[in-house]
Amino acid sequence: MNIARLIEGCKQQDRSCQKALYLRYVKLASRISLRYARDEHEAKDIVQNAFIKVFTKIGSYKARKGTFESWLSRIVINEALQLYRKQQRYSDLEIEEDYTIEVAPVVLEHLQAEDILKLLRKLPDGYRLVFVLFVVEGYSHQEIAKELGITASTSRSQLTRAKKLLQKFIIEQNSLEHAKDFTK
Amino acid sequence: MRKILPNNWERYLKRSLEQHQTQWDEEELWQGIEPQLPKPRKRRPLLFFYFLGVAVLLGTVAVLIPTPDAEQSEPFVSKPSTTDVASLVDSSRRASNTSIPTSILATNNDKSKAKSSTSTSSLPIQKTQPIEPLAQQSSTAATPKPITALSQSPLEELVVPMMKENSLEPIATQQQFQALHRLPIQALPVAVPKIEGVQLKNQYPQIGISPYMTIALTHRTFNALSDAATGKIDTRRQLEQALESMEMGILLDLQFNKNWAFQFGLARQQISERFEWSDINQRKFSIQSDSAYFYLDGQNQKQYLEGKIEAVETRTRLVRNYNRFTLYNIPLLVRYSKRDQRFGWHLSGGAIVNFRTTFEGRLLENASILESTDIEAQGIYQSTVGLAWQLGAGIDYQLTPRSQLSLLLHHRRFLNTFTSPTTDFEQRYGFTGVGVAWKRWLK
Repeated sequence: MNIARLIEGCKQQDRSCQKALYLRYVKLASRISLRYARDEHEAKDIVQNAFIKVFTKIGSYKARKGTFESWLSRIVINEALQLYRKQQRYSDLEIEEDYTIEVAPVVLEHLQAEDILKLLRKLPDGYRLVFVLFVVEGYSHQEIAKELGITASTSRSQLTRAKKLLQKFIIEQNSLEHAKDFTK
Repeated sequence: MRKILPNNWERYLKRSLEQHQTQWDEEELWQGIEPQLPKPRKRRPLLFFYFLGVAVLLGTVAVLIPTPDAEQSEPFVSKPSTTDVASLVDSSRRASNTSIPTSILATNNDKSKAKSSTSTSSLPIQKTQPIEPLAQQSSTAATPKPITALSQSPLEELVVPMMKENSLEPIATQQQFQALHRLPIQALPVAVPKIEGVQLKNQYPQIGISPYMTIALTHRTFNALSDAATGKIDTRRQLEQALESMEMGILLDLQFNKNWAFQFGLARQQISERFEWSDINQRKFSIQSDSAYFYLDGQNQKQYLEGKIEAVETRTRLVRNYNRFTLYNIPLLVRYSKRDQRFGWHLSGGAIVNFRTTFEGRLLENASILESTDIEAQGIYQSTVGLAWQLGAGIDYQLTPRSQLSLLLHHRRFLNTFTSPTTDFEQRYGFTGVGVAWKRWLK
């Protein structure tokens, strides 16, 4: 069944169409949610909420405004950011460290996506979101600032810190000695 | 092994993440989604027939109860005037042996008075035609003076509806008109007294219908299990409690006498529940640090030592929740009203039976930081039928003898609509609202 028919069926709340649409796009949604979530459980919550929103708001989807994939991606990202905004209310104790480890070329090839996700999750929430939105999704700092309710300069500084931290984690992962070999 | 340079490691990360495939149990995930999806739209034939029944009932009441001869219209009384309704009888047919009672043939002696009449009765009569009394016509045996409009219509259709519409006393009896009708009538000169705005006595019971709309705001009384008692949340501070409501409905008024009436009807009420609270939770923990302690060395420089640092994490969660209910209400109210000229006031009060039909929203679990509760699944608000009481007051403005506009103020309190028989959950909503109603008297 083509996507247009599936969407039409979903608008009529047809369960079989909803499930078919879900099965077709669940991998895309889960891939996106994993980048933002702190763990797999949270990523599943994001995907669930996103699909519920998709099926309740599908009447507002207009094919001429963009592909369904981009619409779904936007919803998943919004769900992730919404979760973040809720959790942002937690005034967590911030332990700021100034990481001054020099950036060195790092061997990444043996790192699997799972490993990268694990490293991403080690980042503080704010850093992770800024990093993913900027590097993976291609948002500008202005857009990130608007989404997260921060200033563009904060976004920039958080990105810098995120990169440094990530590199630090990667270095730790590969061991400093191994990395040094490749810097020669 | 290929070296990844610093300027493209981000690109590598991006590509890896985009190509990543999850190995989730998709069926299990779907099981979590499906129950929360909106149900396919159901037709509600019962509700439709209910509305249809109410409409038929109102219509039947309106039709079956005869229109009284009089209606209350004191503010609109003006001086009586006269209207000349002239018709001419075909003189040739009148020459036959049929006699027309002279009592029904009023004269029109004063033609100037007729011309200056401010009658609102509009018979299709060309008044420029000189109208002669029947007796006079018969004596002169003049040629017919046809009046186009009148001559094309049966007399009964013209005269009888006119009387009904203007609540006029008939000049002739039905039998007399029938006698006339058998005649080759061209026109009948009749002088009918016209009263603008009749002032006649009231007749009770009177029946009226009142479509109305109200909007209401309220504060909410929240009685739930103490969160602190669960040990999971230290304190909960409810910051804001509000409900917005809009109701539209129709009331049937049974006015027993000048002051007292009974009202019942059907209304649809939409309630938007909006509340906000903050949960505060604190956790003590320790972290390992390489600079937990320090001492000053011989050069007065700080030297750091490893150790554990005690820390307190304070989590504050601000929760906003939006729920939406739809109720169908059957108001059963007693109303006392007073009127002076066009303005009046009223007091009303009574019970409201309500049926909760839909609920949209989620309630956050009292004892949980993050989990929410599906209210329908958990059986909270199991009472789909409830009771409320209401007190109200308002001012009325008489628009026409048969209709009035009212501004309403009311307070409504739900007694058991939002309670659960199986849990300690109990919420007693109270609404204070304003509204507008328009009333039309059917009788």
